[in-house]
Amino acid sequence: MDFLTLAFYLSVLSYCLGLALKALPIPFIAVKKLGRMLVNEGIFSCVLTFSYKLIIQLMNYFGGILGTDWGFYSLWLAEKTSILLTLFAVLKGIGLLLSKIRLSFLVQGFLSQVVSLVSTSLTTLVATSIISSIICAGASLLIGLGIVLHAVPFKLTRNIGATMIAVVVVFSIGLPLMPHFIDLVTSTVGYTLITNGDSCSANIKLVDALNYEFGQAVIEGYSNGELLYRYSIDTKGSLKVNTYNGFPCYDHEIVLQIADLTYSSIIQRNQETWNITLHIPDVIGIAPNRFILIGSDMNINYFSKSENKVIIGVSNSIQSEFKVYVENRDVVAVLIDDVPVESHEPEALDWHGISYFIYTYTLQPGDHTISVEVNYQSTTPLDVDLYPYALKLFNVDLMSAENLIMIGTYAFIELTVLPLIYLTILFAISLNLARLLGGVSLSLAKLTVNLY
Amino acid sequence: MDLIEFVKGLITTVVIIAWFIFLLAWVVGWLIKGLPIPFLRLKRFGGKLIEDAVWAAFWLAMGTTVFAIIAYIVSSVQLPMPQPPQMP
Repeated sequence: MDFLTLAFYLSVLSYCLGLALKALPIPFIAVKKLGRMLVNEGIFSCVLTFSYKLIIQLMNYFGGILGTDWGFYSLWLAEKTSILLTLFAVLKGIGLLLSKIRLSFLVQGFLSQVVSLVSTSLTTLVATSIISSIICAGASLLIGLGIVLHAVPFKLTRNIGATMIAVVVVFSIGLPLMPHFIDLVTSTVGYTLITNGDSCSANIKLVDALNYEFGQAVIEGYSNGELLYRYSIDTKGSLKVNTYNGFPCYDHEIVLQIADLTYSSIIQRNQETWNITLHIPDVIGIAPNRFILIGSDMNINYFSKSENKVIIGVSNSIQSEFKVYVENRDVVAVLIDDVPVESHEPEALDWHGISYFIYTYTLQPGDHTISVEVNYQSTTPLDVDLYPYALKLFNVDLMSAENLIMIGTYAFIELTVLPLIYLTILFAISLNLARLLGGVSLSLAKLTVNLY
Repeated sequence: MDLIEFVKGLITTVVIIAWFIFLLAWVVGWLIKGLPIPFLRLKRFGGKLIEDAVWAAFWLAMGTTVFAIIAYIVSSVQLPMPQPPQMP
């Protein structure tokens, strides 16, 4: 059923009913007023019906201005949920361990309190994600339904319709901005409460030999041979670590892994926030997960790069070789000095869920032009077990009861209290917008407030 | 029955009733206005009935035009939006 057609005919019905009442030959002013009101109502509902596209456009426009990004929001939700689940599992593990050795009476009280805080946060996040999925997937449908309810004659469901339209519009724009709100509020204290200022944030950029962003890679941090963290660098060659996941605030060794290649370096801190650009000297990226590994004795004289093709001019004094890494479903075309080169049997490599084919080519001494073109369908995401630095810090003080309570409480404030405050703000805005659109359903408002 | 068809049927019925009401109001209005009695307020009331009925009939007849104009004006508002301002 087409909601907008129905809404239009309901508006026409209101208009005609209003005129019929206006024409009635009876001396009651109230009836005449009712007729006039119905005519106005019909015209307003009709305007709203034809504004459907405009409402959607305005929603997208304001969303664009404010930086609404459902993808980022989903990632944030998934990240927070996974952190909470890890915390939950750790707490359960500790409880189980202590009960095995019959020492659970020592920590039972506070452990159950922390578990309940974490599970409340988890429930809030899941509820928020369900609301967001409904609004994200059904925004246009819900607005259509709201317009129909708005158009029902005699204002029977007008306020509910207006509230529905307003809630959908405001939440579509505002809900994906929740991570920014929470980041803004928590950035003032950050994770320092729990980790005593030991966890920093970092922006890491990975670039290839030609200074182009390159992905994907696994980055690990070590201190005295002990693993501190493990993160993955995305397809755009960037990694942003907030204080919640954590990054060490002190100098340490970084180990970078790309397929079977390993690079390591010591990074030294010189600012509050780490801004690190990692440069790989012998790798030239073609596309995510596709790259050329050049020999150490090859000098790059010139290069040109397009979407999935790289042309480089190299010179080498001795016979050397270069390798082309691609995913196993890709089609590769390699030309050396504009002559197609027959590919040998590639070497297969499985690395964190990515199946690589490695083609090796030999270059005679002299100047050469190498052209590599890769046609590919999709990029396999990295399947790596992440190990946030916060978990490392957490492990250090695993048996410290006050740290567990702090972490649980912090998670509760960040992932339950702040989202609820934000949802309340959005709801207040929705009610004001609903008032503009023709009325607020107070019963609906009360119901929603009670729900929270 | 389809809801849209039902509403369309209701509109047709309401419009027919509205025209009958207009005719009735018009007749009753003239009847009161033309009564051979010296009550001015009553005659004014008759005139008011005629006036209301005529206005209602006018807007009823103009209904299609009114809604077409609304559709035209509101649809033409969908102009390309200006670019969002860039923060310095």
